[in-house]
Amino acid sequence: MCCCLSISGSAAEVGLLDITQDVSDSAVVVHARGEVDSGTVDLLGEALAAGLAAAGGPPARMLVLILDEVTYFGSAGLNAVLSCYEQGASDGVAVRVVATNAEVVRPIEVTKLDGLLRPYPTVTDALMSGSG
Amino acid sequence: MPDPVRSSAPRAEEAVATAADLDVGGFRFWFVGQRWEWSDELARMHGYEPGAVTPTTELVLSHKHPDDRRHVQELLDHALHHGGSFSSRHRFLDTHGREHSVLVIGDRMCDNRGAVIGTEGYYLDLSGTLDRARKDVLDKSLPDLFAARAAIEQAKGALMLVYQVDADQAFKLLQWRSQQTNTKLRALAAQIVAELTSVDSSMDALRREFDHVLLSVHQRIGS
Repeated sequence: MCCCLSISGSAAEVGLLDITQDVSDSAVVVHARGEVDSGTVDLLGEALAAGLAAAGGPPARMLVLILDEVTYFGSAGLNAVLSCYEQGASDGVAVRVVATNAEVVRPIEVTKLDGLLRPYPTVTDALMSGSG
Repeated sequence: MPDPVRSSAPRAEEAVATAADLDVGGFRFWFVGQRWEWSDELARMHGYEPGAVTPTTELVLSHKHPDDRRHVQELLDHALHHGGSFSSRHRFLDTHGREHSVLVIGDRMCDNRGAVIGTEGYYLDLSGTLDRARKDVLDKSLPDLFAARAAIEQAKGALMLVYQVDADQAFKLLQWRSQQTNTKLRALAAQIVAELTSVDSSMDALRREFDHVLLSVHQRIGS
């Protein structure tokens, strides 16, 4: 089973942030591309909520969030991802972040949130990490 | 309601002693939870009585200038990506719809584990031009200012270049630091001038730019 869902912003925001969702047997993969700031973060929040709902199962899947192609990532984005992680933890959904770009990795590191939101280099790594 | 400090004619000592006079307000912004804290001055700058509102991202967003895509919160996110203090020009609308042009100066706020938890700093309102009458009072009552004019003017010139502000705004910056640190304006300005050569930054690009200005400026003077 595989379905694909694409969400993008209102007319004024088209192109700033594009988000797609792929659901496979093992995981829900949310892929964000573009700028996550206070103007676009609601889109990401909605996509993450939808991703969590899809991952909630049954059967429960992992939620993988790919941020590698995010070109702006500030506190708004950080909070959205952190909220998703916490919601996932209470819903029993493992949330994994995939990112190697400094734009995303550095804010996670300097805030020492990398203990929770440890960015994985690839989707494969994230999927291999188990759901613990 | 006008600020009482603004609407009454201040005495010179008040003019330099009251922080409200300079429209400088402090803030703290916590990244996680996106929590804000405003000083009373900053609340007033936005048009609120101190304590009347709790600043939130939504509230701050409601003051965003319609022509700006991002608002001040994104400015403060600088600390998520880069170390060190930073300053940046920004504008917002107060509750009366008046535009404020501010210089935001901020630095990282860390917890005891060394994690960067937010940004703290000041807004300096550069839009309300220093009231002329008050400036006259200031000038007449403070002979120190005249005696130290050269150093102050030199320091102003440096600030004008570095922060891209005009002469009045540069003066406000100096005044602010003077008040904040309870240091005489003259002494502060003289020390800034003395330390100009020790400012560590990549000067090459600036120098190249300025070389051009210096060598060609005579061509642009109106006859």
